[in-house]
Amino acid sequence: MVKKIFLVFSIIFSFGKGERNLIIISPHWEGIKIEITRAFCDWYEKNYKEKVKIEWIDQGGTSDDLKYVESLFKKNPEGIGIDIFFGGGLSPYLKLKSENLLLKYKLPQNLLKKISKYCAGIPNYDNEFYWYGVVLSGFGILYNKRALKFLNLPDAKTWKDLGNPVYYSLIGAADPRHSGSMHMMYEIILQTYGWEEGWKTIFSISGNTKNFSTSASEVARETSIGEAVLSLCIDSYALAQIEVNGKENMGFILPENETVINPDCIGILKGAPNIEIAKRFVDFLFTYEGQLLWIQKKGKKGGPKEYSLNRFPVMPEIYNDPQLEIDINPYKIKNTIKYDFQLAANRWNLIDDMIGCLIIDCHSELKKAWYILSKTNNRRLKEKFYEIPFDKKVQRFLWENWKDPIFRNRYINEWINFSLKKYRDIIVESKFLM
Amino acid sequence: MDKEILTVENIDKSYEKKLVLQNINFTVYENDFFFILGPSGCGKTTLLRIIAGFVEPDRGRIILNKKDITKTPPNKRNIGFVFQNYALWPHMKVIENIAYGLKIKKYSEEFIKKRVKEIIEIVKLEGVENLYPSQISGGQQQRVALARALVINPQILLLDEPLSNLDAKLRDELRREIKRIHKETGITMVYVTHDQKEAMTLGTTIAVMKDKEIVQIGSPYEIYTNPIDIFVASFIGEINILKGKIVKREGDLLKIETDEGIFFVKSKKQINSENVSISFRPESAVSEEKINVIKGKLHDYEFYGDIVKINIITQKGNLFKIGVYTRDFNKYKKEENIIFSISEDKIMIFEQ
Amino acid sequence: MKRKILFTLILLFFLFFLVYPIFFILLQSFYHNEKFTFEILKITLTNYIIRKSIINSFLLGIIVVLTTSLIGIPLAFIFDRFSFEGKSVLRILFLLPMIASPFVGSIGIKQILSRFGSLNILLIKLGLLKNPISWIGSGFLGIVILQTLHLYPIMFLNISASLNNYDISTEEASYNLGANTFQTFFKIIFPLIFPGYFAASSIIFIWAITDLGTPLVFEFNNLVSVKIFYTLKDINTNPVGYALVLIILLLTLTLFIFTKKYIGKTPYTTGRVQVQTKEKNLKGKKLFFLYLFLFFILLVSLIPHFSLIFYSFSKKWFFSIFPSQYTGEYYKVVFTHRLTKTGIFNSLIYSSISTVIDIFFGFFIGYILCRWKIKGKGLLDILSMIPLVIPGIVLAFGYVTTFSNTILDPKNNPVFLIILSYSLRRIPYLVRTTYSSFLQLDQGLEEASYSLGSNNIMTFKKIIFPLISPGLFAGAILAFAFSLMEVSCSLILAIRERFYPISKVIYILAGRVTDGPNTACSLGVLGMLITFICLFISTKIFAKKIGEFFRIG
Repeated sequence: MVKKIFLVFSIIFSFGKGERNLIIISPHWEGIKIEITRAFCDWYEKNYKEKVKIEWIDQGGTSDDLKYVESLFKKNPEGIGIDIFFGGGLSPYLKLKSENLLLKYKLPQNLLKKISKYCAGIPNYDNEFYWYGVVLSGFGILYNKRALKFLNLPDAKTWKDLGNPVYYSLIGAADPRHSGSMHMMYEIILQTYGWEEGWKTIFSISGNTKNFSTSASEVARETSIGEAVLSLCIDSYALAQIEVNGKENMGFILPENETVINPDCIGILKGAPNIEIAKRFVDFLFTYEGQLLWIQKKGKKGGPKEYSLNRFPVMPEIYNDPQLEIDINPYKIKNTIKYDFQLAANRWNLIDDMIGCLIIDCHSELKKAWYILSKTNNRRLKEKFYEIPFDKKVQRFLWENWKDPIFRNRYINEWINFSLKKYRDIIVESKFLM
Repeated sequence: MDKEILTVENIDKSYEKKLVLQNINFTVYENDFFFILGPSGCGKTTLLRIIAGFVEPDRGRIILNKKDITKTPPNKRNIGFVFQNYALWPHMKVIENIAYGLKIKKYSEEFIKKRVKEIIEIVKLEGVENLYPSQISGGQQQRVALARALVINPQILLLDEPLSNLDAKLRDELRREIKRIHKETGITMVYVTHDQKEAMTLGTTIAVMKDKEIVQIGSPYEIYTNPIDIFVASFIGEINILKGKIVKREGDLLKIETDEGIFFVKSKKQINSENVSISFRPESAVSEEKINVIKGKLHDYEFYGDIVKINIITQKGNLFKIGVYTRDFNKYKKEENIIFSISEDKIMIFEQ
Repeated sequence: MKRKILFTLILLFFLFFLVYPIFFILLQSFYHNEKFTFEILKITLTNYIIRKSIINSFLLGIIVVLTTSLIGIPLAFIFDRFSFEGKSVLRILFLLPMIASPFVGSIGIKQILSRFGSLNILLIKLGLLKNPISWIGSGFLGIVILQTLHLYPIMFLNISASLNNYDISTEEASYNLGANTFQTFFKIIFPLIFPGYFAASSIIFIWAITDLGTPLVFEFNNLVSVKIFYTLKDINTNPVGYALVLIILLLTLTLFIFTKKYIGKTPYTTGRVQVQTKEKNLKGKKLFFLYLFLFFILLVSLIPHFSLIFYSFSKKWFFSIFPSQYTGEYYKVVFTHRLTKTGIFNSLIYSSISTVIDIFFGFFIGYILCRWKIKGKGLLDILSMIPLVIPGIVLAFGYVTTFSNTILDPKNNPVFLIILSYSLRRIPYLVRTTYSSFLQLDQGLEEASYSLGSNNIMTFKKIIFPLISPGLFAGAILAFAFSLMEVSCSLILAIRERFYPISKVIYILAGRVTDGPNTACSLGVLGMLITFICLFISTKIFAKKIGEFFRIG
């Protein structure tokens, strides 16, 4: 009995003893973690004759993980006991690199040469080898076919279509301050249509947005139960929902020429406690079997065991695999927009806070104003609705100083007051017009 | 008879600065049935708990069989204790309750069985051994409590008002039982009570307590006939009291002037002050006109069966209680003058 | 001497793991850049969204108090004043909503309340609804519904107790003197039940505003509790969290002191006047409506539980009232999936150990308070009751901030702190139960054992423990059940996956695509089942005293 208790205790209180552990912080969903863990551990044991364990840390969405890591580094600049940051698109890595929180690691040449340097003009890995894209993500619109039909509503083909007032309170979106994929979509909209048109589109979509969820996956789920009818969505979540509810009930489109293919990356964190394993983990992801895992359906040869991951590998070679039953090849998708990743990374927090202050934190007022506007159709008020508290040219100055909390907080408070006043004015003035 | 079992020396105890026991001294001899008698709140239960070891005294010593046990924990004292509310363990059967003390002392199964059977016979509990305390009557519970305390053959048995939770008839019955058990086992007992009747009928020695002190120790007869003060006198039985002044002393004969005239009292007591109270018990008055006469009218009476206690009211308005045999009761008529006298050696005298 | 050591150790335990973290929060909210300042408080209160969150939290608390009153008070009166068939069974059934935390319930109920959820589909099919509206709204409405359905039993229990507590003749006296029903209610009944009502309202209010799980599942972020949860992620760069926790702490403390004053009793009062209540027999139509009302409330309050069960069995549930395809697969997943297995294992370990700790502390503190005369007893009394006023979210926040970068840092291994937080929060209940058991336990029972030669250990083993244990175990079983499904501390303290308890696993799974939510529901159903069994056993031992667990002051 005493022995048993001791055993239990030693299990709970042992960490990092005996077995080698790899500690990864990641916003990836459960299925990915399970499949990757399984595949990597097998691969590791086969190649290094040693057992290894992966420990996943989860703080929520990409932005939550990023904040968590940054906050930890502030207190422990030399290292935070986490080896790898995995997933969340590309921009977090540009940010982490600029903050000097990543560790340089060059893949062995035989692996490196198999990855394409670019996809649709966007780099697949850092030219200084601080980060690598593992899979590619597409961003688009997930919609509930049944609900659209029931409500007699048209389909949406472009981001701008989502701003159509007929979709009032039917759009699903999440808070970019928590969700990295959601942030990507707003950034894509901004870069597709340009600063001014882009913001107009975002404001319109937000006017139609039901409410802002915290996580992108919840948005996908809410679309499937009709809480939202159309939503901004990353491909993997959309495909997963369609798999469950059927193609006849749900659909997903990538707005033509309005979206980008974005690598979903990995990077080793500064001061990684298990640096050797971390490097091997990165190596593994770029082996053929590490890449095939992402796209092969579950149960198929070289595929995952329990969960289909529905992601597009960065290794072009994979798409020629005869066993694959897949007809999309991201390397063949046409894209005309020039997506500037550096710009996106630079203004990441700025855009987050802008959407936060101008839209989400006063969303109830915004929604009310938007609703009234759609009834009055007053041009002047509509212009007012799209107003932004500063000129496009200032944004550089803003993002460069955004790290200073006092500077940032001053603007945040200013913008919120600006927005509240804006929307309240519109509501009051429209009432006079009606 | 003269072997000292328990000696209590100079015990003081206070709770939160309030003194509850002051300078308590007494000795209990072998086979004694020692009573601590006092009104409620006089500290007698605390005293008993000090002897048992549940409470530590502030000062003084407890000596049991020539051994100082003042610092000995209660479980090492080998003193039996019967609680006022029995304190039977509700989760154990009667037989388990009784056998507990033996099991603790790790006696052999066989011995325990024999001893428990013996004790059950003594306290007459046959037939309820396998019931739980809640399933038996109050009187039986009391017997279990006794048996449980006796079974370990303690050097001394302490009883804390063991009969106070029973109705009158059961109380009489159990009183006799306790007397019998005392006789049969010969165990030394210390018994705390506020009921003078219990003390008088059972006790071999009585210590009367009054307000944190022992005021008198003696045999029931001594205490009854020669109480040390009015408190003891009135606590131990009914008395009539009359205030007076000594006007003349002749050896041990005193002449005392009172409201009701002159009284003569024979007393060996050293009386220092002139102002005194004299008192006598109801049964000391006889229906004659000799000395120490009281005259009055029948006021009312209490009927006790074998005797009647009549109250006489004198001309001065004093009430006296006098006991007469029922067979003589029809001699006295209401509104008639009644005359009694008390012999001079039956009158008790106390300083005021 | 041994006594003093034990006593000091217990005191130190409380000081270090309860007082110190709270003190640390206090300090941090006034101490910035190495000096004393009100800056953090100022930043916090001038931030629009934070202010909005505070207002929202207040509103939520008040609304939930009102809604629970609307259900709980009439219910209590019905049970107090009328006698009808099946009353005792119904009384227990009305406690059922408490077995699943609203956090778990909210996962399933989205399927019911959403725009094209079961409720709207049903209404559309019945032709009652043309344009489906969302019942979840921004999430706020959903939270109110879930919390109300979960918390009204607390109101019910407290009002019932208050009604039980006063003599019906006071009411009769009022009628006798010519007052009508209305006057009697406001002049006599209400003032008499007010202390109980106030106490219940305080618990419900605090519960509602510190509930973390439900708003997280509904993704309604403008609440103080959620803000606290998120500020923890960047607490080193953004100290607003300290000020928010401070606000919550002050609020709960004020309410607690107020309650204490109103109730004006020590928390240890046991036994109350047995009063004969006048129960009326209802017949015919009135009885029918009474049943209708009761069953309606019962049905509605169990919807979250049913939806959870349905969702856990649904293979496909799209645009239909009930799932169109069923499967038992998710229950298999629960026992095979790495994460769920870890969660169940961890929770069982955490809860068991914390329950053992609870038993230990509950027993000894109860014993010390009741039987020992020792200096500092008053302090221990207060300390052991403090966890009642410390919401889980505050405790967890305190632990994360206080012990970060120490050997106890939850980022490395939260096991110790999780167990501690589980047990600390239940200690007051166990202290209470044992204390009242000791009060009822005649000291003579122990002394009798000593006088028969038994030492401390034997007396403890043979006498004290067997006599105290029914109450203690009933309490412990409840504590175990509560720990098993504890939400706030679990969500905040468990950061690494291998240390996740059930609640965190449910939360993580609920946010996942594909079968995540279904698996979360199955796990939730299992949790519900365990809680139910524990509650059942506990009530069997404990009989009516179950209500004590849901009262403060």
